[in-house]
Amino acid sequence: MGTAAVTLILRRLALAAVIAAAGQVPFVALAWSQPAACAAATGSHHVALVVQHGDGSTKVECVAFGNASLTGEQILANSGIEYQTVSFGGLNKAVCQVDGEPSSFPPECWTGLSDFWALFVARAGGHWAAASVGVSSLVLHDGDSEGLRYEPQAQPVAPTIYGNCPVLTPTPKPTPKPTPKPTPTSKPTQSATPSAASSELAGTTPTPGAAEPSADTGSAGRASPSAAPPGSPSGLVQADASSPDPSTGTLVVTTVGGSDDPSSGAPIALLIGLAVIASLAVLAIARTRSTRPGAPP
Amino acid sequence: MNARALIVWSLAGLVVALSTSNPVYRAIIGLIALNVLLVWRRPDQDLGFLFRLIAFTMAGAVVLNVVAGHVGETVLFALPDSWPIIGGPWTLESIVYGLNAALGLAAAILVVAPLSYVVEPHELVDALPHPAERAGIVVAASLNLVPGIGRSFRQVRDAQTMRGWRPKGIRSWAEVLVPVALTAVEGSLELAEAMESRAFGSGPRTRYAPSRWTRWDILIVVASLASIGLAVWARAAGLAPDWYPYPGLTMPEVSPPMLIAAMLPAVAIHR
Repeated sequence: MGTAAVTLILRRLALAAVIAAAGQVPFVALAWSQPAACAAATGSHHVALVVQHGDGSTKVECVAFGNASLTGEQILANSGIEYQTVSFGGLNKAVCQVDGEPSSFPPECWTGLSDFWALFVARAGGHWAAASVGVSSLVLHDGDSEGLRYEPQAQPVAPTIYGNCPVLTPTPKPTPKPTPKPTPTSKPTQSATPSAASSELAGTTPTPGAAEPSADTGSAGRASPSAAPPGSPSGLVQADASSPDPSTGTLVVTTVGGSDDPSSGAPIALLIGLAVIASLAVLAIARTRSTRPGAPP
Repeated sequence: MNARALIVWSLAGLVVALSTSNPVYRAIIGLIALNVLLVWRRPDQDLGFLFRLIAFTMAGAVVLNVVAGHVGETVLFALPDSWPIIGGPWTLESIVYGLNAALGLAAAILVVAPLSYVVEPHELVDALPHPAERAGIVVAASLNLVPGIGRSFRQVRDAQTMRGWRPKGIRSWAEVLVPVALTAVEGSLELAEAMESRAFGSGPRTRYAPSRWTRWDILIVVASLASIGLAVWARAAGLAPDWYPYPGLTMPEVSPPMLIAAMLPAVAIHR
């Protein structure tokens, strides 16, 4: 067993002990050891991937790798987020679909009026800048961030969230007697607060004592963030920390701020449309037969 | 059917069929137009040429997209990438996209075909607003030249063949093309003289039998305008998203307002 793996286990145990001692969060809270998982899985280099959908919902992932650099497409592939690309000759590949948005796209990737996935890059924790090359040519190094935002072509705006990967810090020392805040409900929360996650995303060290149990137990794994990353819009009110995937070494943090898809559903309209098509086809066939020479009047 | 009502109806069909890439709306509009053609076409009109044109256009759209488009998840087979244009994966999604594009073309052709197959050419010119009348007549006369030149070409070629002419290279075609060009020029001059002798341009166009509006024509216009309004609103409001078979085949999403917009032109089927 390597040193990194041992460190990972020790970190998890230490952090679990802190939170369990607080009497608020059971072992599920180990999700907040994700930076360690990210670091230990495949390499010591990290690139953050920020995917911001048209409805405002955002996924932030930290992809770990061992090489000196990766292309933007490799980052996408390693993140596990579904994506589709189309080759644009000299510009190489453009991103047409990410995480199921849009549900379909033309062979040219987008039309003159449709929204599209704009590609941004932030170097070494800096500000977002529009990428000048396709996703398959974009080279990212340790500490960089790759941003994808689904938006109208007329208004290319960078993602409103920064995706700096968490800084690997020494295991926080357990506080002997942390003072937990009282919870409105007796049910324990199933995750740590995103305030810690946001801090980590912003590159600061989370404070164990600041971990507050969430009052919202109805949505497992979700809580209200108290400290948003720089540039975070006020509409982002929740954060969702899912389990880390050790195989890819990614930290997945999803902030939800968008609205539900209003266009989903309405299969009955499709059935009506198909029925209308069938009726019109039958009518046309009947008229064609009745107008043939020799057909009975 | 009143020519102006038919123009508005065709416009509504075009707006619905071409404003989205959804095959459901396109199929509905195409079938409605086909039924209108079968119901309203003039007795002397044969639809064979129209159907051949549509079949040719659809086949071209499908083949072009399948050959040139190499996007999609369901790969049927693959050619080496080094082959220009045709190289790469040939996918089921490309075939479906080509069929959808062909469906749009067919719907567009069918929806404007009644302007040629239902109303007389002079009715169409009469339907134009006064400021556009002269331009309309000139355009109609110019378009009439195309089939006229075709007929002239066949006649001259047959006549030259009877005199022993045989096609031998590009230069030999001059013996056919020169008489055809001279005939076309002569025909144009004759047409201009005929129009002038009938006082073309001396005043507003008169008509022997003014077109009449029936209640059914008014209903068609109202339904067509409602269809255009609904379709434009649905698109602007984002209620009628486009449909594409990429990256994988999915069922098209049908929006109720757009479905109603596509069905409204069906009032013209009744006679």
